Amino acid sequence: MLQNTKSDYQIAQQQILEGIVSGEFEIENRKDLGPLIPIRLFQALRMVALGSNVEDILGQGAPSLVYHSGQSLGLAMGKIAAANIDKDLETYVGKIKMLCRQLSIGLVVPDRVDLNAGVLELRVDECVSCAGIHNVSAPICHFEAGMVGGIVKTFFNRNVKATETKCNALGDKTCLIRVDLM
Amino acid sequence: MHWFESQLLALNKLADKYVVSQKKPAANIVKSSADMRESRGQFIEAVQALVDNVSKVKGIAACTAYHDGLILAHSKQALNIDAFGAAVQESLHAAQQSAEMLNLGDIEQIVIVGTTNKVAMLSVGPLMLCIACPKHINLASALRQDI
Amino acid sequence: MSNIHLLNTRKSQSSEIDSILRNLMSIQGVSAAAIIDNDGFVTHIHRDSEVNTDAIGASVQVVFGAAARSAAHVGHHGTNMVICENTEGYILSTPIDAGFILALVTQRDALLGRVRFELKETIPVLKKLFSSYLAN
Repeated sequence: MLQNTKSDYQIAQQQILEGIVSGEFEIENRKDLGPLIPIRLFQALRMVALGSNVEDILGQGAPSLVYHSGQSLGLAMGKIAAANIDKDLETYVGKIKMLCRQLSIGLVVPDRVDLNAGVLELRVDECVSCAGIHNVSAPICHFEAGMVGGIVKTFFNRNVKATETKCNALGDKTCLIRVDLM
Repeated sequence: MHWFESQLLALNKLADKYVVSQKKPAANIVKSSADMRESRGQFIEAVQALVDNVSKVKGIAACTAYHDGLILAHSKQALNIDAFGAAVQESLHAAQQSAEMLNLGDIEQIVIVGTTNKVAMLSVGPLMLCIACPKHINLASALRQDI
Repeated sequence: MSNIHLLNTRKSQSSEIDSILRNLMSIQGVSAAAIIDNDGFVTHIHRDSEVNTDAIGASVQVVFGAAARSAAHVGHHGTNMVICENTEGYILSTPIDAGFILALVTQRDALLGRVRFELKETIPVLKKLFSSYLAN
């Protein structure tokens, strides 16, 4: 008998990503409540479950875990967007913008693309993670930074380092993610 | 001075040289880093050479070197190096306590003699050099032999 | 200080960091030496074989963070090294500065005391190099 080597989380992840790929946002067992949730619930999951709670256990390792999680989503989104576009950056970015809007992650706007310097900067307006959050001391959207890193990594097939340099929660009105191609 | 004494002396000099390189004021961090690495490399190489040479001496069962009770260098025939390391650490701790009570100064040597075998532990810089042999072997004269 | 001087300083510091990693790789049984930033990104690496740098970087930060937290729960403050002993060898991680970690991967035949000694002696130098490197 073949052994199922996937964990339950991996099985759930696959189903969620397949749902995203299909573009079908209706969901079973949510007849009355529908597919949308209040943003504060997402933020509770992001900043509490995947934020302060993880920090309680992992200390300085928490941002890495959050970044890595965002990167996994970014890699999956990148694969969806990279299909059938013949490596065209503009089309790719267009598809990513649409996907981020559909998923209400934020409004993604390329701010600077300097491929000679190996630097891209992408703005995430109305960022889902930090909207309505204030007075933090450093950028907090490690998940989005990882996600953007994963998206860029998929297109260029190169290692990247994504860093959030501006954050709405810092009072910057937007989140700016700088991606360095390695 | 026979070969073991002179090699041990050279090793202590290299250990001192390394300590000096660590304490040098670092106007140029890159250079002082390279200098420290070089003197540490020389010291470790000399430790390995001494361990290899001691283990060639007729009558010596094994030779090892430890740092904080963890193995750093060993001769080919050394057995149970982890247990040996734990024993070294424990002996050193006990000896240091006694040394304090008896005003002996820093520990230079510890010798444990059993009915069958014995172990000599020598402090060399930050390391402990351990030499094991059968009880009847006179370590001092064995280490005077040419290798 | 001119920009050119700063650039040269940074370059020589970066190359010294590489020399330190190369030196660590020369120790018996060491198969990878890496520096990981606070986001889990591998900034410098020397290795014998291919490794998934994204995964190892994040994992090292997570393991180190978890170990430091568990140490704090028993009243131990200041984690200087985390040693992960595996069937195939060891992974040792040591904090440098500003969330950076130096990680070493070894085979089973590595001499733990030798590797640990080298790490302990290397960290103060790396701390100095990094504080100057990050300031430039």
